[in-house]
Amino acid sequence: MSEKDVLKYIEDLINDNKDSGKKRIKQSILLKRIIAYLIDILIFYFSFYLIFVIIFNSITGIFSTSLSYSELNYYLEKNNQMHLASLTLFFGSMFIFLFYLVVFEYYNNKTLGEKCMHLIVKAKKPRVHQIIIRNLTKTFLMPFLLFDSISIFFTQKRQRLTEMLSKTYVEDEKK
Amino acid sequence: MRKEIKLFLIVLLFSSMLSFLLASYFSFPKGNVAIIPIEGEIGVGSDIFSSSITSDNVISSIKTAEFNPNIKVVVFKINSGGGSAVASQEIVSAIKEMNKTTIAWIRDVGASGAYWIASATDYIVCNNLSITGSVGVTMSYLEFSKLFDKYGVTLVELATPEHKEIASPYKNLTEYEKISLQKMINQTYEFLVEDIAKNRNMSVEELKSKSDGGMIFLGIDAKKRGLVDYLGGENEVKELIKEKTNLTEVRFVVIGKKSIIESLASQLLSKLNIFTKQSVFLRT
Repeated sequence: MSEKDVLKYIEDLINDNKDSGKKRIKQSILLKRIIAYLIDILIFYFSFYLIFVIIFNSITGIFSTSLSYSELNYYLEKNNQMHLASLTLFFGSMFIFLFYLVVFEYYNNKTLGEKCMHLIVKAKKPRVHQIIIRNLTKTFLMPFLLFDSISIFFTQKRQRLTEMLSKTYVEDEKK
Repeated sequence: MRKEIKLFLIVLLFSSMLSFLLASYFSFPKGNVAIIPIEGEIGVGSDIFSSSITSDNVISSIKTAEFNPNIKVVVFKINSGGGSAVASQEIVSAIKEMNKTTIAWIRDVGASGAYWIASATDYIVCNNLSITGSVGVTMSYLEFSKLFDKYGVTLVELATPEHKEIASPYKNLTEYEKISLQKMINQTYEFLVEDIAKNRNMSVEELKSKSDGGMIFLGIDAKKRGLVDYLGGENEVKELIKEKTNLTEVRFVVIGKKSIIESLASQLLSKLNIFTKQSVFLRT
Protein backbone atom coordinates (compact mmCIF):
# COMPACT_ATOMS: atom_id res chain seq x y z
CA MET A 1 0.00 0.00 0.00
CA SER A 2 1.31 3.48 -0.79
CA GLU A 3 1.20 6.40 1.58
CA LYS A 4 -1.80 7.84 -0.25
CA ASP A 5 -3.70 4.59 0.11
CA VAL A 6 -3.02 4.53 3.85
CA LEU A 7 -4.21 8.13 4.21
CA LYS A 8 -7.34 7.42 2.18
CA TYR A 9 -8.07 4.36 4.30
CA ILE A 10 -7.79 6.41 7.46
CA GLU A 11 -9.98 9.13 5.90
CA ASP A 12 -12.64 6.55 5.08
CA LEU A 13 -12.53 5.27 8.63
CA ILE A 14 -13.06 8.75 10.00
CA ASN A 15 -15.76 9.71 7.49
CA ASP A 16 -17.61 6.42 7.87
CA ASN A 17 -17.78 5.62 4.15
CA LYS A 18 -20.77 4.02 2.40
CA ASP A 19 -18.94 0.74 2.14
CA SER A 20 -18.41 0.89 5.88
CA GLY A 21 -20.15 -2.43 6.34
CA LYS A 22 -17.40 -4.31 4.57
CA LYS A 23 -14.75 -2.05 6.06
CA ARG A 24 -16.13 -2.62 9.56
CA ILE A 25 -15.79 -6.34 9.11
CA LYS A 26 -12.19 -5.84 8.01
CA GLN A 27 -11.53 -3.45 10.89
CA SER A 28 -13.07 -5.78 13.42
CA ILE A 29 -10.95 -8.73 12.25
CA LEU A 30 -8.01 -7.43 14.22
CA LEU A 31 -10.07 -7.33 17.39
CA LYS A 32 -11.49 -10.77 16.61
CA ARG A 33 -8.01 -12.16 16.12
CA ILE A 34 -6.86 -10.73 19.43
CA ILE A 35 -9.85 -12.23 21.23
CA ALA A 36 -9.33 -15.55 19.40
CA TYR A 37 -5.72 -15.62 20.58
CA LEU A 38 -6.75 -14.86 24.16
CA ILE A 39 -9.33 -17.64 24.03
CA ASP A 40 -6.68 -20.02 22.76
CA ILE A 41 -4.37 -19.05 25.62
CA LEU A 42 -7.14 -19.68 28.15
CA ILE A 43 -8.01 -23.04 26.62
CA PHE A 44 -4.34 -23.99 26.57
CA TYR A 45 -3.73 -22.83 30.16
CA PHE A 46 -6.72 -24.55 31.73
CA SER A 47 -6.35 -27.84 29.91
CA PHE A 48 -3.07 -28.85 28.30
CA TYR A 49 -0.78 -26.73 30.45
CA LEU A 50 -2.51 -27.84 33.64
CA ILE A 51 -2.20 -31.51 32.75
CA PHE A 52 1.40 -31.00 31.75
CA VAL A 53 2.32 -29.33 35.02
CA ILE A 54 0.32 -31.71 37.22
CA ILE A 55 1.95 -34.79 35.70
CA PHE A 56 5.40 -33.19 35.73
CA ASN A 57 5.02 -32.22 39.37
CA SER A 58 3.64 -35.58 40.46
CA ILE A 59 6.69 -37.35 39.02
CA THR A 60 9.44 -34.90 39.90
CA GLY A 61 7.85 -33.20 42.93
CA ILE A 62 9.29 -29.92 41.74
CA PHE A 63 6.54 -27.87 43.35
CA SER A 64 6.08 -30.16 46.37
CA THR A 65 9.16 -29.04 48.19
CA SER A 66 8.24 -25.75 49.79
CA LEU A 67 11.55 -24.24 50.54
CA SER A 68 12.43 -21.25 52.62
CA TYR A 69 14.22 -18.44 50.86
CA SER A 70 17.67 -19.45 52.04
CA GLU A 71 17.03 -23.08 51.23
CA LEU A 72 15.79 -22.18 47.74
CA ASN A 73 19.00 -20.26 47.14
CA TYR A 74 21.00 -23.24 48.31
CA TYR A 75 19.06 -25.50 45.99
CA LEU A 76 19.47 -23.27 42.98
CA GLU A 77 23.20 -23.09 43.60
CA LYS A 78 23.82 -26.75 44.32
CA ASN A 79 21.18 -28.38 42.23
CA ASN A 80 21.46 -27.68 38.53
CA GLN A 81 18.47 -29.86 37.88
CA MET A 82 16.22 -27.15 39.30
CA HIS A 83 17.33 -24.71 36.60
CA LEU A 84 16.97 -27.33 33.92
CA ALA A 85 13.56 -28.41 35.18
CA SER A 86 12.30 -24.83 35.13
CA LEU A 87 13.53 -24.38 31.59
CA THR A 88 12.01 -27.72 30.62
CA LEU A 89 8.65 -26.64 32.02
CA PHE A 90 8.76 -23.42 30.03
CA PHE A 91 9.87 -24.83 26.70
CA GLY A 92 7.74 -27.92 27.12
CA SER A 93 4.61 -25.83 27.63
CA MET A 94 5.46 -23.61 24.64
CA PHE A 95 5.94 -26.72 22.53
CA ILE A 96 2.54 -28.03 23.57
CA PHE A 97 0.92 -24.68 22.76
CA LEU A 98 2.54 -24.72 19.32
CA PHE A 99 1.42 -28.30 18.84
CA TYR A 100 -2.16 -27.32 19.70
CA LEU A 101 -2.14 -24.38 17.26
CA VAL A 102 -0.55 -26.40 14.46
CA VAL A 103 -2.77 -29.47 14.85
CA PHE A 104 -5.97 -27.45 14.84
CA GLU A 105 -5.00 -25.09 12.02
CA TYR A 106 -3.66 -27.90 9.84
CA TYR A 107 -6.53 -30.35 10.24
CA ASN A 108 -9.36 -27.91 10.90
CA ASN A 109 -8.20 -24.61 9.36
CA LYS A 110 -8.88 -22.91 12.67
CA THR A 111 -8.08 -23.18 16.34
CA LEU A 112 -10.83 -23.29 18.97
CA GLY A 113 -10.40 -19.57 19.60
CA GLU A 114 -10.65 -18.80 15.91
CA LYS A 115 -13.72 -21.01 15.69
CA CYS A 116 -15.37 -19.01 18.47
CA MET A 117 -14.65 -15.77 16.59
CA HIS A 118 -15.67 -17.22 13.21
CA LEU A 119 -12.24 -16.87 11.68
CA ILE A 120 -10.50 -19.21 9.30
CA VAL A 121 -6.88 -19.66 8.29
CA LYS A 122 -6.39 -19.76 4.55
CA ALA A 123 -3.50 -20.73 2.33
CA LYS A 124 -3.07 -22.01 -1.23
CA LYS A 125 -1.79 -25.40 -0.13
CA PRO A 126 -1.43 -25.40 3.61
CA ARG A 127 1.54 -27.42 4.79
CA VAL A 128 2.78 -28.19 8.26
CA HIS A 129 5.89 -26.06 8.02
CA GLN A 130 3.78 -23.07 6.95
CA ILE A 131 1.49 -23.48 9.95
CA ILE A 132 4.49 -23.80 12.26
CA ILE A 133 6.11 -20.63 10.92
CA ARG A 134 2.92 -18.57 11.24
CA ASN A 135 2.52 -19.62 14.88
CA LEU A 136 6.10 -19.15 16.07
CA THR A 137 5.51 -15.64 17.34
CA LYS A 138 2.45 -16.84 19.24
CA THR A 139 4.58 -19.33 21.14
CA PHE A 140 8.36 -19.46 21.37
CA LEU A 141 8.88 -16.01 19.89
CA MET A 142 6.05 -14.37 21.83
CA PRO A 143 8.12 -11.27 22.73
CA PHE A 144 8.16 -10.43 19.01
CA LEU A 145 4.42 -10.79 18.50
CA LEU A 146 3.73 -7.07 18.62
CA PHE A 147 6.48 -6.36 16.12
CA ASP A 148 5.19 -9.20 13.97
CA SER A 149 1.68 -7.73 14.06
CA ILE A 150 2.57 -4.23 12.84
CA SER A 151 2.27 -5.29 9.22
CA ILE A 152 -1.45 -6.04 9.74
CA PHE A 153 -2.16 -2.34 9.23
CA PHE A 154 -0.30 -2.17 5.95
CA THR A 155 -1.15 -5.37 4.10
CA GLN A 156 -4.27 -5.95 2.07
CA LYS A 157 -4.99 -9.33 3.61
CA ARG A 158 -4.14 -8.11 7.11
CA GLN A 159 -1.20 -10.46 7.45
CA ARG A 160 1.42 -10.56 10.15
CA LEU A 161 5.05 -10.81 9.02
CA THR A 162 5.18 -14.52 9.76
CA GLU A 163 1.94 -14.98 7.87
CA MET A 164 3.45 -13.25 4.88
CA LEU A 165 6.47 -15.56 5.20
CA SER A 166 4.28 -18.64 5.44
CA LYS A 167 1.88 -17.38 2.76
CA THR A 168 -1.18 -17.77 4.96
CA TYR A 169 -3.82 -15.31 6.09
CA VAL A 170 -6.82 -15.15 8.36
CA GLU A 171 -10.25 -14.29 7.09
CA ASP A 172 -13.69 -13.84 8.52
CA GLU A 173 -15.60 -17.05 7.98
CA LYS A 174 -18.92 -15.24 7.59
CA LYS A 175 -17.67 -13.18 4.61
CA MET B 1 -17.61 -30.51 16.56
CA ARG B 2 -16.54 -34.15 16.68
CA LYS B 3 -13.41 -33.28 14.78
CA GLU B 4 -12.56 -30.58 17.31
CA ILE B 5 -13.09 -32.99 20.19
CA LYS B 6 -10.83 -35.57 18.55
CA LEU B 7 -8.12 -32.99 17.95
CA PHE B 8 -8.49 -31.72 21.51
CA LEU B 9 -8.03 -35.22 22.89
CA ILE B 10 -5.02 -35.78 20.66
CA VAL B 11 -3.32 -32.64 21.98
CA LEU B 12 -4.25 -33.59 25.56
CA LEU B 13 -2.74 -37.02 25.10
CA PHE B 14 0.35 -35.47 23.60
CA SER B 15 0.77 -33.09 26.57
CA SER B 16 0.46 -35.99 29.01
CA MET B 17 2.99 -38.12 27.14
CA LEU B 18 5.43 -35.26 26.76
CA SER B 19 5.13 -34.49 30.44
CA PHE B 20 5.88 -38.12 31.39
CA LEU B 21 8.83 -38.22 29.05
CA LEU B 22 10.39 -34.99 30.24
CA ALA B 23 9.70 -35.62 33.91
CA SER B 24 11.44 -39.00 33.80
CA TYR B 25 14.76 -37.24 33.21
CA PHE B 26 14.60 -35.46 36.55
CA SER B 27 14.78 -36.70 40.08
CA PHE B 28 14.58 -34.25 42.91
CA PRO B 29 15.56 -35.47 46.34
CA LYS B 30 12.51 -35.56 48.59
CA GLY B 31 12.41 -33.50 51.74
CA ASN B 32 13.80 -35.19 54.84
CA VAL B 33 12.70 -32.66 57.42
CA ALA B 34 9.02 -31.83 57.72
CA ILE B 35 7.93 -28.36 58.76
CA ILE B 36 4.49 -28.19 60.29
CA PRO B 37 3.37 -24.58 60.72
CA ILE B 38 1.46 -23.62 63.83
CA GLU B 39 0.44 -20.05 63.15
CA GLY B 40 -2.36 -18.04 64.59
CA GLU B 41 -4.93 -18.92 67.17
CA ILE B 42 -5.16 -22.62 68.02
CA GLY B 43 -8.63 -24.05 67.74
CA VAL B 44 -10.41 -27.37 67.61
CA GLY B 45 -11.75 -28.99 64.45
CA SER B 46 -10.72 -28.87 60.81
CA ASP B 47 -12.08 -25.68 59.31
CA ILE B 48 -9.88 -25.04 56.30
CA PHE B 49 -11.19 -21.54 55.81
CA SER B 50 -10.63 -20.45 59.36
CA SER B 51 -7.81 -18.05 60.07
CA SER B 52 -6.81 -20.13 63.08
CA ILE B 53 -4.80 -23.32 63.09
CA THR B 54 -6.89 -26.29 64.12
CA SER B 55 -5.88 -29.35 66.06
CA ASP B 56 -7.34 -31.73 63.47
CA ASN B 57 -5.25 -30.16 60.72
CA VAL B 58 -2.06 -30.28 62.78
CA ILE B 59 -2.67 -33.89 63.84
CA SER B 60 -3.30 -34.81 60.23
CA SER B 61 0.04 -33.19 59.27
CA ILE B 62 1.74 -35.03 62.12
CA LYS B 63 0.41 -38.35 60.85
CA THR B 64 1.52 -37.51 57.31
CA ALA B 65 5.04 -36.78 58.57
CA GLU B 66 5.06 -39.84 60.81
CA PHE B 67 4.14 -42.26 58.03
CA ASN B 68 6.46 -40.76 55.44
CA PRO B 69 9.67 -42.82 55.42
CA ASN B 70 11.64 -39.95 53.86
CA ILE B 71 10.92 -37.67 56.81
CA LYS B 72 13.43 -38.12 59.62
CA VAL B 73 12.77 -35.01 61.71
CA VAL B 74 9.66 -32.91 62.29
CA VAL B 75 9.98 -29.20 63.00
CA PHE B 76 6.99 -27.30 64.38
CA LYS B 77 7.28 -23.75 63.16
CA ILE B 78 5.40 -21.84 65.83
CA ASN B 79 4.07 -18.33 65.63
CA SER B 80 1.07 -18.36 67.93
CA GLY B 81 -0.12 -16.82 71.16
CA GLY B 82 -2.07 -19.92 72.10
CA GLY B 83 -5.75 -20.73 71.95
CA SER B 84 -8.08 -23.47 73.02
CA ALA B 85 -6.81 -25.62 75.90
CA VAL B 86 -8.41 -28.71 74.43
CA ALA B 87 -6.89 -28.14 70.99
CA SER B 88 -3.44 -27.52 72.46
CA GLN B 89 -3.67 -30.67 74.56
CA GLU B 90 -4.74 -32.73 71.54
CA ILE B 91 -1.70 -31.56 69.61
CA VAL B 92 0.58 -32.19 72.60
CA SER B 93 -0.69 -35.77 72.86
CA ALA B 94 -0.13 -36.35 69.15
CA ILE B 95 3.46 -35.05 69.37
CA LYS B 96 4.24 -37.28 72.34
CA GLU B 97 3.12 -40.34 70.37
CA MET B 98 5.56 -39.60 67.56
CA ASN B 99 8.62 -41.79 67.04
CA LYS B 100 10.67 -39.19 65.22
CA THR B 101 12.85 -36.37 66.49
CA THR B 102 10.78 -33.25 67.00
CA ILE B 103 11.89 -29.65 67.28
CA ALA B 104 9.84 -26.57 68.11
CA TRP B 105 11.06 -23.50 66.28
CA ILE B 106 9.46 -20.42 67.83
CA ARG B 107 9.39 -17.38 65.58
CA ASP B 108 7.68 -14.15 66.78
CA VAL B 109 5.46 -15.63 69.48
CA GLY B 110 5.25 -19.02 71.09
CA ALA B 111 3.25 -18.42 74.21
CA SER B 112 0.61 -20.09 76.33
CA GLY B 113 -0.90 -23.05 74.46
CA ALA B 114 1.74 -22.70 71.76
CA TYR B 115 4.46 -22.97 74.39
CA TRP B 116 2.68 -26.03 75.79
CA ILE B 117 2.93 -27.59 72.32
CA ALA B 118 6.59 -26.58 72.05
CA SER B 119 7.36 -28.17 75.42
CA ALA B 120 6.16 -31.54 74.08
CA THR B 121 8.94 -31.59 71.46
CA ASP B 122 12.48 -32.84 72.02
CA TYR B 123 14.11 -29.43 71.61
CA ILE B 124 12.90 -25.84 71.61
CA VAL B 125 14.65 -23.21 69.51
CA CYS B 126 13.62 -19.59 69.59
CA ASN B 127 14.95 -16.23 68.54
CA ASN B 128 16.56 -13.94 71.13
CA LEU B 129 13.59 -11.63 70.84
CA SER B 130 10.82 -14.19 70.48
CA ILE B 131 8.03 -13.90 73.00
CA THR B 132 7.34 -17.02 74.97
CA GLY B 133 6.08 -18.13 78.34
CA SER B 134 2.59 -17.05 79.45
CA VAL B 135 2.08 -20.38 81.18
CA GLY B 136 -1.46 -19.98 82.39
CA VAL B 137 -5.15 -20.29 81.67
CA THR B 138 -7.70 -17.61 80.93
CA MET B 139 -11.40 -17.35 80.29
CA SER B 140 -13.02 -14.13 79.19
CA TYR B 141 -16.14 -12.83 77.53
CA LEU B 142 -18.02 -9.57 77.13
CA GLU B 143 -20.90 -9.14 79.54
CA PHE B 144 -23.72 -6.84 78.47
CA SER B 145 -26.08 -6.90 81.46
CA LYS B 146 -25.30 -3.32 82.56
CA LEU B 147 -25.64 -2.06 79.01
CA PHE B 148 -29.06 -3.65 78.80
CA ASP B 149 -30.05 -2.04 82.12
CA LYS B 150 -28.92 1.34 80.83
CA TYR B 151 -31.14 1.13 77.79
CA GLY B 152 -34.06 -0.54 79.50
CA VAL B 153 -33.64 -3.85 77.77
CA THR B 154 -34.84 -6.85 79.70
CA LEU B 155 -33.47 -10.28 79.06
CA VAL B 156 -35.92 -13.10 79.43
CA GLU B 157 -34.05 -16.29 80.01
CA LEU B 158 -35.68 -19.46 81.22
CA ALA B 159 -33.42 -22.32 82.15
CA THR B 160 -33.36 -25.40 84.32
CA PRO B 161 -31.40 -25.89 86.49
CA GLU B 162 -30.39 -22.36 87.65
CA HIS B 163 -26.74 -22.46 86.50
CA LYS B 164 -27.50 -23.67 83.02
CA GLU B 165 -26.92 -20.17 81.66
CA ILE B 166 -23.59 -19.76 83.41
CA ALA B 167 -21.18 -17.45 81.56
CA SER B 168 -24.00 -16.01 79.48
CA PRO B 169 -22.92 -12.62 78.10
CA TYR B 170 -26.37 -11.22 78.83
CA LYS B 171 -26.49 -11.68 82.57
CA ASN B 172 -24.40 -10.85 85.55
CA LEU B 173 -22.19 -13.61 86.92
CA THR B 174 -23.15 -14.61 90.45
CA GLU B 175 -20.49 -15.07 93.13
CA TYR B 176 -21.05 -18.81 93.20
CA GLU B 177 -20.71 -19.06 89.44
CA LYS B 178 -17.55 -16.95 89.54
CA ILE B 179 -15.99 -19.28 92.10
CA SER B 180 -16.97 -22.33 90.05
CA LEU B 181 -15.43 -20.97 86.91
CA GLN B 182 -12.30 -19.97 88.75
CA LYS B 183 -12.08 -23.50 90.10
CA MET B 184 -12.24 -24.84 86.53
CA ILE B 185 -9.49 -22.48 85.49
CA ASN B 186 -7.33 -23.52 88.44
CA GLN B 187 -7.82 -27.19 87.62
CA THR B 188 -6.87 -26.59 84.02
CA TYR B 189 -3.83 -24.64 85.14
CA GLU B 190 -2.66 -27.44 87.40
CA PHE B 191 -3.05 -29.90 84.55
CA LEU B 192 -1.16 -27.60 82.21
CA VAL B 193 1.70 -26.93 84.59
CA GLU B 194 2.07 -30.59 85.50
CA ASP B 195 2.29 -31.55 81.84
CA ILE B 196 4.76 -28.84 80.87
CA ALA B 197 6.92 -29.61 83.90
CA LYS B 198 7.01 -33.27 82.88
CA ASN B 199 7.89 -32.31 79.30
CA ARG B 200 10.69 -30.00 80.43
CA ASN B 201 12.05 -32.38 83.08
CA MET B 202 11.40 -30.10 86.02
CA SER B 203 9.19 -30.15 89.07
CA VAL B 204 5.87 -28.33 89.15
CA GLU B 205 7.14 -25.90 91.77
CA GLU B 206 10.24 -25.17 89.72
CA LEU B 207 8.16 -24.46 86.65
CA LYS B 208 5.72 -22.26 88.55
CA SER B 209 8.65 -20.31 89.90
CA LYS B 210 10.37 -19.98 86.51
CA SER B 211 7.20 -19.09 84.65
CA ASP B 212 6.71 -16.24 87.16
CA GLY B 213 2.94 -16.33 87.42
CA GLY B 214 2.15 -16.56 83.74
CA MET B 215 4.59 -13.87 82.65
CA ILE B 216 5.85 -13.53 79.09
CA PHE B 217 9.57 -13.50 78.38
CA LEU B 218 11.92 -12.69 75.58
CA GLY B 219 13.84 -15.63 74.17
CA ILE B 220 17.04 -14.62 75.95
CA ASP B 221 15.32 -14.64 79.31
CA ALA B 222 13.43 -17.84 78.55
CA LYS B 223 16.76 -19.57 77.84
CA LYS B 224 18.16 -18.45 81.19
CA ARG B 225 15.07 -19.77 82.91
CA GLY B 226 15.37 -23.11 81.15
CA LEU B 227 12.08 -22.72 79.30
CA VAL B 228 13.77 -23.08 75.91
CA ASP B 229 16.89 -24.98 74.84
CA TYR B 230 18.57 -23.00 72.07
CA LEU B 231 18.55 -19.49 70.68
CA GLY B 232 18.65 -18.91 66.96
CA GLY B 233 16.82 -19.14 63.67
CA GLU B 234 16.71 -21.34 60.62
CA ASN B 235 20.46 -21.97 60.50
CA GLU B 236 20.54 -22.99 64.14
CA VAL B 237 17.61 -25.35 63.56
CA LYS B 238 19.49 -26.97 60.67
CA GLU B 239 22.69 -27.28 62.73
CA LEU B 240 20.71 -28.80 65.60
CA ILE B 241 19.13 -31.33 63.25
CA LYS B 242 22.55 -32.34 61.89
CA GLU B 243 23.95 -32.55 65.43
CA LYS B 244 21.14 -34.65 66.90
CA THR B 245 20.51 -36.92 63.94
CA ASN B 246 22.73 -38.51 61.33
CA LEU B 247 21.50 -36.24 58.54
CA THR B 248 24.22 -34.50 56.56
CA GLU B 249 21.84 -32.51 54.38
CA VAL B 250 18.64 -30.85 55.50
CA ARG B 251 15.83 -30.53 52.97
CA PHE B 252 12.68 -28.94 54.29
CA VAL B 253 9.22 -29.87 53.14
CA VAL B 254 6.21 -28.01 54.51
CA ILE B 255 3.24 -30.14 55.45
CA GLY B 256 -0.13 -28.63 56.13
CA LYS B 257 0.47 -25.33 54.44
CA LYS B 258 -2.68 -23.63 53.29
CA SER B 259 -3.07 -23.09 49.58
CA ILE B 260 -3.34 -19.53 48.25
CA ILE B 261 -7.11 -19.85 47.88
CA GLU B 262 -7.52 -21.18 51.42
CA SER B 263 -5.31 -18.40 52.83
CA LEU B 264 -7.20 -15.67 50.98
CA ALA B 265 -10.57 -17.12 51.97
CA SER B 266 -9.58 -17.49 55.60
CA GLN B 267 -8.30 -13.91 55.74
CA LEU B 268 -11.52 -12.60 54.25
CA LEU B 269 -13.77 -14.74 56.43
CA SER B 270 -11.84 -13.92 59.61
CA LYS B 271 -12.54 -10.23 59.00
CA LEU B 272 -16.24 -10.93 58.53
CA ASN B 273 -16.39 -13.10 61.65
CA ILE B 274 -14.67 -10.61 63.89
CA PHE B 275 -17.72 -9.81 65.99
CA THR B 276 -19.41 -13.17 66.01
CA LYS B 277 -16.92 -15.22 67.96
CA GLN B 278 -16.73 -14.88 71.71
CA SER B 279 -14.17 -16.97 73.52
CA VAL B 280 -15.97 -18.41 76.50
CA PHE B 281 -14.11 -21.69 76.57
CA LEU B 282 -10.87 -22.14 78.48
CA ARG B 283 -7.85 -20.76 76.72
CA THR B 284 -4.17 -21.36 77.32
